[in-house]
Amino acid sequence: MSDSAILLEIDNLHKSFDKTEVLKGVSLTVREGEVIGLIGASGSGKSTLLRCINRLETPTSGTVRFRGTLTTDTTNALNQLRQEIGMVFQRFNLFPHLTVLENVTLAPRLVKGISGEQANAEGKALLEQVFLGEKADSYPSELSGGQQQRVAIARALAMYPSVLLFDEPTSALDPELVGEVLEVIRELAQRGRTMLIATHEMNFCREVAHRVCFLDGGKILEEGKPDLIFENPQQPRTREFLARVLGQR
Amino acid sequence: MKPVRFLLIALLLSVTTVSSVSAQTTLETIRQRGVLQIITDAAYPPFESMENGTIVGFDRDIGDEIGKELGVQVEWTSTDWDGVLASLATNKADLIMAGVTITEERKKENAFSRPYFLSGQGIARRKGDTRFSTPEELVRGAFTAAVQNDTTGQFALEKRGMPLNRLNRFTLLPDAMMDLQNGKSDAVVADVPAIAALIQKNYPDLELVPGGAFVLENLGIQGRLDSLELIAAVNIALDRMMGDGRYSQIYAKWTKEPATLPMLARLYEIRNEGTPIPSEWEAKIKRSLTQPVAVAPDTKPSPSAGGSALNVRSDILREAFPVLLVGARLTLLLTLSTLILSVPLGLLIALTRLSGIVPLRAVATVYVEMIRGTPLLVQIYIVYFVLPAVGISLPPFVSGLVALSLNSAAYVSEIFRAGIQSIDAGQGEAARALGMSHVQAMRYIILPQTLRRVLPPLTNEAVALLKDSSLVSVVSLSELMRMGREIVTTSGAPTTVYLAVALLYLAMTLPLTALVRYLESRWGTPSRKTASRGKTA
Repeated sequence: MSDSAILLEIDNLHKSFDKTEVLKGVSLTVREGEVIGLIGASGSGKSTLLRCINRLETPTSGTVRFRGTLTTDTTNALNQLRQEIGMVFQRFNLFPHLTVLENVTLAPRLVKGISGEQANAEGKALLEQVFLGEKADSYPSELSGGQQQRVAIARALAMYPSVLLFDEPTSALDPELVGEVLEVIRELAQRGRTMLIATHEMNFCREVAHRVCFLDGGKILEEGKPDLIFENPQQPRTREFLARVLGQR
Repeated sequence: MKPVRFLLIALLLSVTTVSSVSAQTTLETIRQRGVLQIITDAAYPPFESMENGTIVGFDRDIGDEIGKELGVQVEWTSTDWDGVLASLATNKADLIMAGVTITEERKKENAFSRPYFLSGQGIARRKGDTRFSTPEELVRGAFTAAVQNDTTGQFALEKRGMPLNRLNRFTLLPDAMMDLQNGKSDAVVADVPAIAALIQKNYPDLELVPGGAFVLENLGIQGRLDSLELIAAVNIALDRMMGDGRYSQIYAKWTKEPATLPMLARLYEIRNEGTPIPSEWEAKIKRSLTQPVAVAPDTKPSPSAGGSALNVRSDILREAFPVLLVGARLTLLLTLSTLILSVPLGLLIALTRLSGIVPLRAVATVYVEMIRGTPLLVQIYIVYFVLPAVGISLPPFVSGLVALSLNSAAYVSEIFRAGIQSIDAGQGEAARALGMSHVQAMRYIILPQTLRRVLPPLTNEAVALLKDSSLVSVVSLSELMRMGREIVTTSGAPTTVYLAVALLYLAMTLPLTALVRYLESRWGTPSRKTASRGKTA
């Protein structure tokens, strides 16, 4: 994997909200096909880092390069960039006034100009992939949280993005619904999808991630192979964090 | 019913009232309570106008003298001309003194005193506008005339074939004069003394068409047909004032002209042009007026008999309903047209206020605050009467539509703004994260959800608008409420008419709210619950 092409290059990223600095210089390189797990306490900057990558937040300073090109806030470049970077939210954010299939097909039709027929065919295939083929005509409110999150994943996949960002995809779910969502993500990992996953599911992270980054106080404090981070963390803060979250299990 | 027969019956009724021992006549009631209630429309100089909060004018002075003759205080009230006749019919007043012309039509509804002023209808025009000089030329020449609603000026033009669409009718005569000054109408037809007084007071650019009155009229004081003995007492009082010079003095004071001998002679000559009163009554009442009345301290000023205020009269309803329907149609047309304009405009203002373009946002904010901070009535007046001063002259319907739309748009924009802001921020983020543009996210994600959410408050606005549209009657639009008031002035049956008006408003608002309830229940399933469920992180 270290020889595949560089997809994302994040350099010294800072982000402040009013007087609070949430990111204090994050640098990270993501290669094609890599799965990166982002762990850390709430407020450590995981979500903000993801949101700066697809520029839902504008970084205060620092740069993000996608395939070598600097990302900017110009409208055209932005809409182009976001087609390449899919995102799955903690709280799903499905469109409640549209059916499941419409949720999946709206953006391809509007943004990529794909015909309704083709979008529907592709959308149905994607719903099959997340095991929700029979729910195409339901409304989001008729689905369980786990089903909704799987629709959200299908919706992100429908744009055929180069990279997927997961912002704590199972944190808003009842415990018994977590498994079905993780199963879908696991499958994506096996197919070689490039993904950045902010998560509190440590076992899952250790299993699917190629590389794990521990964020603390707006910085990547430690990064490396999952086994290394989980078995033999170098930083006391990392040890402390892992002891806390794993100890609770 | 022919007037003669009607009068006979009325007389018979009155005679029974007077002769019966127990029943108290209106005159007795008034003398006992010590207060005579006179209603007027104080926007009609020189007869009556407001000065520093009090009603002054020819009628005021004459009326006060009548009070002295009856040995009572006079309580003056001013209301719109439309409401003046209704007040008499519902016993809210004993007499009308408002420079009312004695006509055979009006004699059927109410009693008139002897004539107390010689008047006539004249034409006002903009100075130097010599295109017409008679009412016939006004009608033939396709000119538009402004009149005070339900006055002999209006009747004179209608009798000569003036079509309704060239007749701008106003509640107040000064508004009609303003309409002429603004160039929205070509002439005002009204009482010569009233026109002359208004021109002298406020409208230097207008003039009276030379030659004075084209038709002569006698003015009288009005009372109810069931209180003829009060009219008799008024006649006696007027006689005495004309005889001892008080009348001449008041006349000269308000018309700025001396009361000539031929004029007084003419007034004497036509003394019987009012409602006929048996001559033996006069002697009887003359006698009673000289006797002091024992004032019963706990006698309430109760309404006298015969008002029939709580009767719903089906005969009047049958006649009034088609007319009310015409008014309801205008109300509905105006409301729907307003909504067609104000909903998109309100949405645009809301989007502007939420946009990042700061100067536009400021303009929209100022607009909304200005509209919300001033009464709709004032806005209607400004659109119709003030905009002509800066060269924007709109016909009545357009003025009403513009004022209502501008007003409604401000409220609608606040509804939309609140609605858009109530949509979860995650919706917009999800749309933008998929590569949708700001406009696409608005159009396909935010607004469809907003529409469902703002439907109930928008319905409230539509219902409120439907009712508020009655205010446009001030710019001479005959919507439902105005039609109702007009029928009340002619029929004297406020209970029947206003209940019918209320039912018609309900008939328009109920289907609207029902439709919205239906839409809500249809859209309810997917939009009520939010997409996110489960615990929060």
